Amino acid sequence: MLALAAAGCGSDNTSTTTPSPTATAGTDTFTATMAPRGTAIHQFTASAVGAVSVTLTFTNPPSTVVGLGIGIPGGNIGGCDLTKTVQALAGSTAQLTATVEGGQYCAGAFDVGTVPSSGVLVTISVAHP
Amino acid sequence: MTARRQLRRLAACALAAAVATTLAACGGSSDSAATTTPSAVLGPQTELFEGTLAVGGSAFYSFTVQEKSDATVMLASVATSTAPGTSTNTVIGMGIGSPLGTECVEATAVLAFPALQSPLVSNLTPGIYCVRAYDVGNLKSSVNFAIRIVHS
Repeated sequence: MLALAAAGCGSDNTSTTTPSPTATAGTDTFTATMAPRGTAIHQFTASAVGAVSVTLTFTNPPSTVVGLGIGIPGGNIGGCDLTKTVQALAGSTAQLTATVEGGQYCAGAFDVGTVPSSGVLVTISVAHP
Repeated sequence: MTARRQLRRLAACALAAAVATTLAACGGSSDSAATTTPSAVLGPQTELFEGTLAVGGSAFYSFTVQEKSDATVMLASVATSTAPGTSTNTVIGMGIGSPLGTECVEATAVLAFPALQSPLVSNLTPGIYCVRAYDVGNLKSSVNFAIRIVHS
């Protein structure tokens, strides 16, 4: 009977209950060292419909071109299924923008074949609604 | 009451308690002190439908709606491989409907390109539904896709 009751749970790994929205608009900044062929991905929650801006503000070594992407948490490399990507140098103007609706998203950097064996330090800001 | 009858009643109570505990675990709460209320509002469920779409192919995913509400369907990603930087803007077909045998019979469908907004919204009553993704003739090779479904 216990086995039957447990089997009745029918859990689905791909389904999650979305908690009550507690997210607020803001800017998340994160820094990570990215290895060759690696990724540096950050998850964030958008509280409403609006524009997301992703800015690669710093790299070390300087002038390292990296890929920037935004998408939803998923099963691809880095745990993010990317919707849009660009190649970018560090700067103060957002290199990647997207309109989102409320929910969970991910954004970050990935190596496009330019990261040295010692890795690259990246700082990324994500402004979201 | 005989000792045998008392023993039988004790065993029945223990089994009932164990079953109740097991069923309560289906709710997903990790707080063992919390009580389970069967009529609790479930809130939105987020499901991720990931797969590979072949040239001329289709795929579908079934899910259960427990409360009348809008379901939103977002084509979040189409990529030529699972590696980052391979995202494309390829338009594919995406529909919502009801499973019938091994098929998904669409009630509503759209042409969708990857974006972080839901082009497909459908008001659903409790029941089993499906989302179908299909090539509309744009694919030159197979692609990986990710679709987010939010429903109650």
